[in-house]
Amino acid sequence: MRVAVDVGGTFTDVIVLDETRGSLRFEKVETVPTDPARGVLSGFDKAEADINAIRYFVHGTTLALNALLTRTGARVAIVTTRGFRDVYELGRNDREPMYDFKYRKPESLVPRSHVFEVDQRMGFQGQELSAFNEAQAREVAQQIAALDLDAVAVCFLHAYANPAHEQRMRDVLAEVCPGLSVTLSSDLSREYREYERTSTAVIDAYVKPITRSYLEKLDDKLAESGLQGNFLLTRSGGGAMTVETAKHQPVQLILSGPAGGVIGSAVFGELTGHKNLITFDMGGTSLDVSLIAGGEIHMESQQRFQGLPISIPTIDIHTLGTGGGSIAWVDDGGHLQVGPQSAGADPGPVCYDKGGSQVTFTDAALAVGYLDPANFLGGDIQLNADHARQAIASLAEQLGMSADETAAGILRISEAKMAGAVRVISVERGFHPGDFTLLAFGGGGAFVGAAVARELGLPRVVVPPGQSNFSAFGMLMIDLVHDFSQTHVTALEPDQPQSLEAINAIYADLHAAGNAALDEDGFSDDRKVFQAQAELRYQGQEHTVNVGLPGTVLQADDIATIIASFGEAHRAQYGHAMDDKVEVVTLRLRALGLLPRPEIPRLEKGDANPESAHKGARPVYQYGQGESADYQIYDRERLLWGNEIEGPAIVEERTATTVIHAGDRLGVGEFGELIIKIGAQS
Amino acid sequence: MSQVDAVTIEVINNYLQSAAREMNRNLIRTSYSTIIYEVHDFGLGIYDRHCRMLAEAPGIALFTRGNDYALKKMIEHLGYDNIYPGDLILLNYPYWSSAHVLDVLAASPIFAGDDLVGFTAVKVHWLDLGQKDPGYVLDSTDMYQEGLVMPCLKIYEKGVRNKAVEDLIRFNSRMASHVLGDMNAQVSSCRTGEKRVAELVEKFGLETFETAVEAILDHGERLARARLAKLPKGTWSAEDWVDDDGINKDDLVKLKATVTITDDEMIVDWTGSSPAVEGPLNLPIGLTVGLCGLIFKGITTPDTPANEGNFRPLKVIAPKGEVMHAEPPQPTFALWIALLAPEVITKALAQAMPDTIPACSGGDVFTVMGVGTHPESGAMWVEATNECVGFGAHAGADGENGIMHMTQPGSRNNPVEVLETKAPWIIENYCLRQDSGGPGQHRGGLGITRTYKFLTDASVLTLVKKTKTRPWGMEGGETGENGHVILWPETERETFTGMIYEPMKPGDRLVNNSGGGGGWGDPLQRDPEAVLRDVQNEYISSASARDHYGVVISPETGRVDEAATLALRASQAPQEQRKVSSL
Repeated sequence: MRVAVDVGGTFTDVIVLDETRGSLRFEKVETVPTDPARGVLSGFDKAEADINAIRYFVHGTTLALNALLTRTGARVAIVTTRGFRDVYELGRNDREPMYDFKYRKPESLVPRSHVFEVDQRMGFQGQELSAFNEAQAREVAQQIAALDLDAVAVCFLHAYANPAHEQRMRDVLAEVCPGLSVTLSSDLSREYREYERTSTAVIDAYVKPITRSYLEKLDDKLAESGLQGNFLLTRSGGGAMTVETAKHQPVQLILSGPAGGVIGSAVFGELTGHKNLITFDMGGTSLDVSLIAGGEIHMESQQRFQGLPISIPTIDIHTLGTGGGSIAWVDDGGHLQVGPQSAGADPGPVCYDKGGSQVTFTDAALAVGYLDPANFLGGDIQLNADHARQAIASLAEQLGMSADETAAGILRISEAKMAGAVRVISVERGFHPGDFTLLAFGGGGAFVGAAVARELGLPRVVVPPGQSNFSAFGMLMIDLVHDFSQTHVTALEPDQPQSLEAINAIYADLHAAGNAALDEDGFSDDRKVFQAQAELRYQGQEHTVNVGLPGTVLQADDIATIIASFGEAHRAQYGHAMDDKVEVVTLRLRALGLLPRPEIPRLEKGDANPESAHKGARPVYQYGQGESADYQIYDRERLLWGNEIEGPAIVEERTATTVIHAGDRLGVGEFGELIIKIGAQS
Repeated sequence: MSQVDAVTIEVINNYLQSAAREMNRNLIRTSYSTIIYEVHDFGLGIYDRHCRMLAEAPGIALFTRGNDYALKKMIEHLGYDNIYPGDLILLNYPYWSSAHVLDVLAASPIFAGDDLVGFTAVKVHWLDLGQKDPGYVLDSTDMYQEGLVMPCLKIYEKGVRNKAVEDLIRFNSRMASHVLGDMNAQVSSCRTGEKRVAELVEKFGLETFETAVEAILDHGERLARARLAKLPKGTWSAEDWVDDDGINKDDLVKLKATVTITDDEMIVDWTGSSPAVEGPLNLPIGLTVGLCGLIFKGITTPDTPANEGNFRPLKVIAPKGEVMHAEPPQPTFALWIALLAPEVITKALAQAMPDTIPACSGGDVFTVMGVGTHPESGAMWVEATNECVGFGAHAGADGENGIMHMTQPGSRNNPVEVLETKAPWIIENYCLRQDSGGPGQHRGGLGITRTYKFLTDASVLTLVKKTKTRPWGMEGGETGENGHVILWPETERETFTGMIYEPMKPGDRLVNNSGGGGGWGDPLQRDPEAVLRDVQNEYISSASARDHYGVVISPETGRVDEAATLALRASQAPQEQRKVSSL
């Protein structure tokens, strides 16, 4: 048995896969913010999962991200090189709002009074310019102890080149204040740029105590309840890690929640033959999009969260503040706008009747006819369509448009913004949307997926089974991952094969480290996979392009091939390639421990005719056409493998709605996935 | 003209913003110089075929505004008839491009089929074009000393690279390979913009696109006018001074702005400013208009993406022959007036809008640049970083500490680890300057200090023109500390100075102090607990807490001594009443 639990801000999703019985069970319980471990265990109960029978328990949590967003993490001290106390507070000095002369930076995670300096200095080649002053370090440690803080982030200049002083500082802290959790910048990132590395270490330190105590508590409770299987967590950089690794480097938990959906998408894509995917995960307040090309999840070597950088390779997830709760409004110039303000879950959209008075995306969807007021969240919430229409009418009056046109316009503008988010992670990264399938999930992904795909020329949309719990579902199919890297700047020239000696020596070390880590996790050799990648650039450039390598032992012949694939990747991303010399910057190795792939239950086979799932029809107002069209309504739970539906149609399930427009055609796949071909009828 | 619905207009607008972001990313990720990929010293945008700006990306706000004028001059010079698909035009004639010779504009026409539909524009700081001194020119007396001028040269004509132009650059630059690498990044960025806009036109059709463009710009204008209507009406003047013109070191250069707001326009009139100066401080008119636009945008529509419509209610007057309107061949290289002039406008407006305008920031960009020969490779190096300042305090809050000047929002500092890797120097410290923020009920933000030690023979340039006047406070708030440069600190030769170009020997040191923001409101009205927090964080000293804020902190408890504070504050009041404190 495998169990995946995705703890979100409001709900905890639980999926139980019983491989012996071939059954999948989805459950949702409320998250217990004060005691999330209890929420997880109550999820086990509700899903009637026999803890003794669990082989793999995979967990995704937004705990770390929430601590960051709500500023409820640890009280952190920074120890840095003398003279550089304000590197963290000063950051890079830039700001996004170009014309705001009163701009304030986001609230700092560490007040200046908690930043301490120690005499020591490394040079950029790792040479010691001045010695580590241990007496001073001890004084600083005592001051930190006196402040009764929770965690320390240590970041010395050029520690990426030589971490010796940071390590000595850790020893001093361990001796003077043994209870304190300590993060070294050099343990997390081996790249230059002191602010970004400090920020990475601070975020790790900031979420470490809260995640560590949570994971320990959960681990203990699960052990008490008899769990003998593996306890794994989804990581920001893709794949899963053991609970021990997670406690040590919680910065890898920042994207743990949304990462589950992306990682699962890659595996689900492999299972269903879709290797190029854009994942489209829309919830109540935000949309997360990411890209998978040729089965590989697209990564970024640096991400920013609320303006705070994290410089570790992270899944490239672009988040847009647009969801069901996004508010529609009229700007000073008389144009209709949607978001970024959200009505959230409370008071929520006008139609929830919980006191919301501002028109939201959900109100517009209800008003035009896409949603059934009696069947929202399986009838748990009765929607008030009249109130939604009244609110839309007053907005329409300000705009001088009809109410129907206003409601449909709200949806259209939202779709354009979401299409913009998809452009960010595809077109703006050098990928052509027409080569990708949109994998739509979350509560609202499939509602707008077909419209967004049409806007950008994606040929198809796939809606996976259990779409509103898909992040958890994806976690069932995960592998264990360890990433290793080493910066090594050297020119790559076909007639200079001797440069490969150093590269191969580094790969031998990285390989040994990866092998040891997987041994520790208990993987046999036949379940280990090693993937080598290098970051390359033209000599003189700074930024790099990632290129896959043929293996970890390179031959002379490989050099020309690597240079050629770099040129191709550069051209694809930036539109040009050059004859300039190419150099290696960073060598990366991913060590994968393969877990057995679960058997996903198949749907009962039917024929093309979907009539047994047909529930009726509903008129839906069409934007810019001045009239409604009838959408046929189907019940997803009654659809069979092989059924086909012509748009316009709506497929309803308990917690989500899939919309297929005129001209599109939907087919049901063997795992119950809905495959919408855009423009298939024309 | 046909009608395009409001929703399609929004869709097209979103698409244009996205295309500008993509151009931005392309430029950063393919460039060769830290000044682009770390410091973001560039400005780029997408324009319609009438050279009206539709979308821009964050960088140097002044660059983008200056590009508006440059494109119009480019069309005047070349004529629409001489612009073909695949052209890529380089322009750095200062009086047209609205920048100095090293800020080179790359622009390309956007064609959809046979129709010219717009332009891309990417202006980037090039490291060298054979100007009289390596790095930067601080004392030219005419344009001919300032480097290779390219008055709309086509590096690509009809898609074909012009080797003659490339050679001209290669043979005139001390750092040709860097410069051409960065130029290729500019080309890549322009091409990306062309492709995206052409796709957009193809998708929606030319007529819809052009109608939508009019609507987007008209909407931008309506947004600006809606806010303009709410501003107070009247005329206000202010003066401030720039250190010197680079030649006559003892003469301050006067700037005077008279701002008039009426029901339907804002007029900024620079009449009364200094006549043209001998040194390279004269400002091309496109940049004068651009810097006024920066302030106008900031007080009307700071929260929406900029487009040409936003600036329609703005009118700028700058008589020819004065420092704000350079004529050929007056020297213009050190553009520093463009950085100081915006806060002369806010100084005038502060009288009208004391509750919305902030006090003066640290007032400058405080750039330090090193130039030398790398001891190992023997190659020439140029490395620089802009320096942040304290923002001015305002009615709502303290000024931010250590933030890039209002003219360069997207610009970033060059990391210490990068600076030391790229050039033979050591950065000894980089931290906030205690007590540099102007005292006030709301405190001005703090400037910073940074110390350089040179390891080999090299030259250092400091680009600083606000060291002789102090950042003004408001409503009883005090001035911030002005910035300055200290050469050879703690030696017999120690010298306090501003803009310099100086040879350095191994072991020579330089301190760069940036200015703090002015305060807002009477410092005796500041919440004593806020003063205590400032002392705990060492933003201010206990001496300043006592002398400026009248707050006594008990050395025993570390808390505010309320009785002593009340007594001290009573003895210190009343403050001299000044609306805007200066000098």
